[in-house]
Amino acid sequence: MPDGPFLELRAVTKHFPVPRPLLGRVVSRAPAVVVRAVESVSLSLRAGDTLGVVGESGCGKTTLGRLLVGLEVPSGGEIHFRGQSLQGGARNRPRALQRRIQMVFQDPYASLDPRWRVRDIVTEPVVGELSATARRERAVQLLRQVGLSDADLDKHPHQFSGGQRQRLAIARALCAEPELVVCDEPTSALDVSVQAQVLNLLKETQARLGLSMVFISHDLAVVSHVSTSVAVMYLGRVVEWAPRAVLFAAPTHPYTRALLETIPDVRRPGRRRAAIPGEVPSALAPPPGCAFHPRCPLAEPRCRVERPELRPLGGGTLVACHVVGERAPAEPPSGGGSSTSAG
Amino acid sequence: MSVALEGLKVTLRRAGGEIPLVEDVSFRIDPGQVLGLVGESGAGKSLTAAGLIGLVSPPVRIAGGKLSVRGHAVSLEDARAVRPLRGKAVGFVPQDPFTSLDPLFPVGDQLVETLRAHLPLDREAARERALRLLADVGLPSPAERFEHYPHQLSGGMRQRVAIALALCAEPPLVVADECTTALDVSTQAQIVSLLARLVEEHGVSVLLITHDLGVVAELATEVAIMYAGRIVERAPVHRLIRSPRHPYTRALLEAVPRVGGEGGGALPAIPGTMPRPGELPPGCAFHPRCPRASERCRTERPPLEQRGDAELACWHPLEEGDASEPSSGGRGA
Repeated sequence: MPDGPFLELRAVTKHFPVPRPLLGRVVSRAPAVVVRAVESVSLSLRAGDTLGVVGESGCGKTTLGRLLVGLEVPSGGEIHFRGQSLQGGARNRPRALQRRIQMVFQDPYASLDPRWRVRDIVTEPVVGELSATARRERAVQLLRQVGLSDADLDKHPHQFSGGQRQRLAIARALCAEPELVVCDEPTSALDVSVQAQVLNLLKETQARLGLSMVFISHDLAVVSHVSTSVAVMYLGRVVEWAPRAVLFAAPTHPYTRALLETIPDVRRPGRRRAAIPGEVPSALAPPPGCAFHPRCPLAEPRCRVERPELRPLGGGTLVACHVVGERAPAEPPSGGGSSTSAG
Repeated sequence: MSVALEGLKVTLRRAGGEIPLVEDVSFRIDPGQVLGLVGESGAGKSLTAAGLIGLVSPPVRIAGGKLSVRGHAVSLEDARAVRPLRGKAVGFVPQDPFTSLDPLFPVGDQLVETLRAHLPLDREAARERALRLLADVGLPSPAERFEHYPHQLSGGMRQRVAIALALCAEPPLVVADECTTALDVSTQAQIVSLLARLVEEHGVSVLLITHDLGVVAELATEVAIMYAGRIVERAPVHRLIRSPRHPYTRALLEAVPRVGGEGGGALPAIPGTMPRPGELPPGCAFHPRCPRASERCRTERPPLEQRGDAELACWHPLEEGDASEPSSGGRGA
C-alpha cells in the first residue's frame, strides 16, 4: 500500500550461527550457538528524514544497516519500503525497488576497487544501461555534485585522500538515483575537518534531492548533527528511540543517559567523564531480562528476569526500561545535566 | 625532573633528496603533566612519537633531535644511544595493543619477561610485581587473566595490559599514541580515567598523541597543535580551547560537531586538505586554507615564537578572546 511510512522495520531479527568444530557437532547434543546480532528491531522513517542509529561496537547497528540494503537476509521480521515488503537479500528483491536503496560504507579504502577508474566506479550502478558517452556525462555530473571535477575522471582511488574517496563513494551511491541512503559510519575514518566537509555534503545532498537517510554511527555528536530521530541500540536491541531534540535534551534510558555522560566534550576542558562500569556482554549469551541490567545503576530485581519492551513515554520517546517513567527519572549523578521531564 | 625534546627532525629519503616529515618539534613536560599533541592524519604526530624512541626505519630517518630524560641528554640520531631508553626511560602505549602484545604468549608471561629485562628480579618477584601492575591498571581478576592470551581479552582489557607493559620499568615519560582511538566511548572513558589516575599516582610525564580534541580537553594540561610536520601553537589546555590564537586551531575546534547542538546548519569545515610532505606550499603551510592569509603568509614561514607561557607560529593570530566564544556544553537547557 502506498500509505504508511516510507521505511518500516517490523521485529527485524538477525542471528548468525557460530560454526562449531565437527567433533562438537557429532558428540555434543547442545543446541547450535547463535550470535544474536539484531533482535526484534522495529523502527520507521518518514520520507526526507534521517534516522540515526547509535551504539557501541557489537550492538548490531552495522548488521541492521546491512539488512536494510539487503547485504544480509533477516532471520525474522519484515522490512517494508514504500509500502512494499522487501523479502530476503538484495538479489531477491525487485531490482527497481532495490536500486532505490544505496549504501555508503565506513572504509573508503576498502569500498572502492583500487583497479577501477573513477568514471567506472561512480557509474557502476548504471553499467549496461547507458552508452559510454552518456556514462561519461553522468560521471562528470556526479563528480560535480560531490565537489570533485572532470579532471578526476581517469584517476584511480589511490590518488585521493580519505575524504575525497568518501565523496566518490557518495557519488556512486547517488548514481542510482536512490531514495534511501544507508550510511554506515561514513566519517569515522576521517579527520574532523574533513568529517565536517563530508557531513555537510551529505546534508546538502539530502536536502537537494529529498533523500531519506539511515545514519549509523558510534559517535553521538555526529548522529546528533544529522538526524531527525535517533535510535539507541544495546546488544542487538533498540533501548530508546526518540526525536533528536528530545533524545539529547531529555534522555530517559539509563544506557542512553550513561552514554551521553561518557562523551568527551572539547568545550569543557578538565571535566572527567563518568565511565559506565563493566563491559558490553557477549552477544552469544546476552544477560537475561534487560541486557543492560548488570551495568545499570537503576536495576531492580525484575530487570534481571523480565525483558522490557519498547513503550511510549510521551514527547515521542519510546523506551525499553522497567524503571524509568514510573517515577521521575533520577537526576544525573553530578548536577549540571539536563533536567528531564517525561511526558 | 621534566622531560624535554629539542629540535626533532624526521625525514624521508627519496630519489630527489630528503623530504622533511617532522621539523623542529620541541617541548618540555613536567612530571605529572600531560602534553596533548594534536593534529590530523599526516601532521606528523605519530612520527614524532616514533622518532622519540628511535622507532623509524629507512627510508625514514631521524635527522636531528635531542631527548633529555632524568638529566641525561641523548642525541636521537644515534640509534645505539636511543635503544636503552625504550621501556626504561620512555614507555609506549600504542593505538592497537595487538602491536605490543605477542599473540603466542599469555599476557602474564609477557609482563614478567619485560619486568625482568628492565629490573633485577627473579621469576617469583617479577610475577608478584606483574600481578600488582595488572591490579593497578584495573584489570578485573588479574590472577586469572595472567594466564590468558591477548585474544581472550576485550579491547579495553588489552589496552590496560599494554599500559601495564609500558609502566613496567617506571619510565619518567609515557608516550600514548592514539591509545583510546579504537575503543568505544564507554571503554574510552575508563582508559582515560585510568591514565589520569596513573599520572597522579606515579607522577609520570605523558605525551598524549591524538586527533580527538575531546580526549585532550579531558586529560591534557597543555596542548600542542601540529600541522604539516610542525607545531603551530602550544598553550595551556584551557587557554587553547577558550581562546585559540592560530586560525588552524580555531578551525579545528569549530569543526567538531556538538551533541545536541542546533543540528540543521552546516558545520564550519576547513576547505581543502593538509598538504602532503614534499608538497608544502611556500610560506605558512596553512595559508591556502586560511581565511586570514596575506601576501606575507604566502612567502614567509612564520617561526614558532614564545608568547608568555605559550608558543605560536602565525603572522596574523587571532586576538586573545577574539575567537567566537565556543558555547559551553550544549545539551540540556
